[in-house]
Amino acid sequence: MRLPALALAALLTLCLSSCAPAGAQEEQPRATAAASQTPAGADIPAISAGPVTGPIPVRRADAAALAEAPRPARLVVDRLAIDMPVRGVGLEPDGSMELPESAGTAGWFRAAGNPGGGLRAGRNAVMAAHVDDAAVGLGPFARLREARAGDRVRVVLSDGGSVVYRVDRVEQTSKREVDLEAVFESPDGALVLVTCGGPWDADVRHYEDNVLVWAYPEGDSR
Amino acid sequence: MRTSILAGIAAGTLLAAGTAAPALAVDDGKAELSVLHGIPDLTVDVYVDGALTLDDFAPGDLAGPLSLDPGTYAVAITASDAADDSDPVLGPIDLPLEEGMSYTAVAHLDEGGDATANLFTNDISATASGEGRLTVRHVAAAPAVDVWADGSVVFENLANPDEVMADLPVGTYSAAVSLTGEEDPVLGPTDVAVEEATNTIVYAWGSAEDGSLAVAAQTVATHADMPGAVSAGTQGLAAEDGGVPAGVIVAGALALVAAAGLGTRVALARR
Repeated sequence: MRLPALALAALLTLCLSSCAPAGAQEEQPRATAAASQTPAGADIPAISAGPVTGPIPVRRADAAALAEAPRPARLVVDRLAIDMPVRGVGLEPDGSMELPESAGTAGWFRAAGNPGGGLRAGRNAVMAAHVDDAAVGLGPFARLREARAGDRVRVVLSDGGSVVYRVDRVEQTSKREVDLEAVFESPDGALVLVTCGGPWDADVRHYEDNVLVWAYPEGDSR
Repeated sequence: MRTSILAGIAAGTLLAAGTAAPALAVDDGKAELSVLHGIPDLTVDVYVDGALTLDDFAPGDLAGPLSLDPGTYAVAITASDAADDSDPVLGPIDLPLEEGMSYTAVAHLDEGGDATANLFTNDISATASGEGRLTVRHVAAAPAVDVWADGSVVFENLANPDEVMADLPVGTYSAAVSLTGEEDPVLGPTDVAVEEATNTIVYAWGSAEDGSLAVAAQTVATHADMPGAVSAGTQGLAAEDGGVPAGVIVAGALALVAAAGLGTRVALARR
């Protein structure tokens, strides 16, 4: 009885160590998309060599500023047969990202970028969903690891508009090593789809890895 | 410039104005400045340290945010046809800007209708998850006001040039302003979106006497706590590992647990 268990344990260990560095980050500097997404209004160029240089955005400070930017409502990846509702989420008390209970719904992290624009236009937008749940079994995000560069990702907004992204890369990284700061805080205008994968740790009921799909606005050359 | 934070707001958590370490909201090592023009009927030029910086700046316009090195800047406002800043209509005033802070300089009328300017500090400390911040500033030539949200008074007796603020659950509120103690709005009602990790700043500006009261608004990103983890699975159904079928791993993990239990029992039995 003990021998096979040990063998399995060894197998698990082997996989863990070999899986861990899988998603090594490629550092690729890119131009920020923010510049093209400043609020409507003419930029007034600074005129002289004062302390303020570069164009200064000026806009009417009227009630239009009080309207909410459209927010993500659905996520569609045709090639992976993903077409699911999206709702805004925040943080759990333990500091982890809140997720919709159903694996059939994706959570969009409200305090990071918004594909629909607004204050954090141009920052990375992050959507995550459970890879599985007790009710639906495997969810749509279970297919994320089959994503390929060039796959079309469409975010449908609450005002009916949509924003199209193209997949750049898929990463699978140990949760202990995943660079969530790069995911949530970069001003790269990326859409990052996040779920779990890799080995299942039944003791803590967590997967060992995060699966990350990095997509960039269509037409944004990298 | 006093900050009045009134007790008794129903909907939100009142906040103590504090600042977290800058991470997201303001560029590293910089201060952020916006400029609001709240003097009716007067198009101006704005000079910063003697240099023409905003040309033909119109009432109701908001410039910025500018990312500036910390320090003290001298700002002068002139008529729009002035050749230089030697004869300002306002200023020069010193704006001391500290690293990591967000400010809005507002040229406006005081309660009696004279032109003045104030440097407001925008609270960009992190809001709790699920909440956004609402700030209301009275910069109008008008008596003190009550601020209403969804039909109830949420801030009482706000006077020029004071501000009030609260963190509220994200959502859209119907906001209005009445003279203190009165019911009829002098401004609004208007929909105000309170968004996560955002300080929505609403200004009452203009002149009650001249019938030019108006609402101006700006939004400022606050700091935000980012997730420390994304735990996105609950069942183990998607487990995969270097070609080993998921079921084997799950069964293996179960076997491991079972074996551990068995081993304990065997050890006990031998004793």
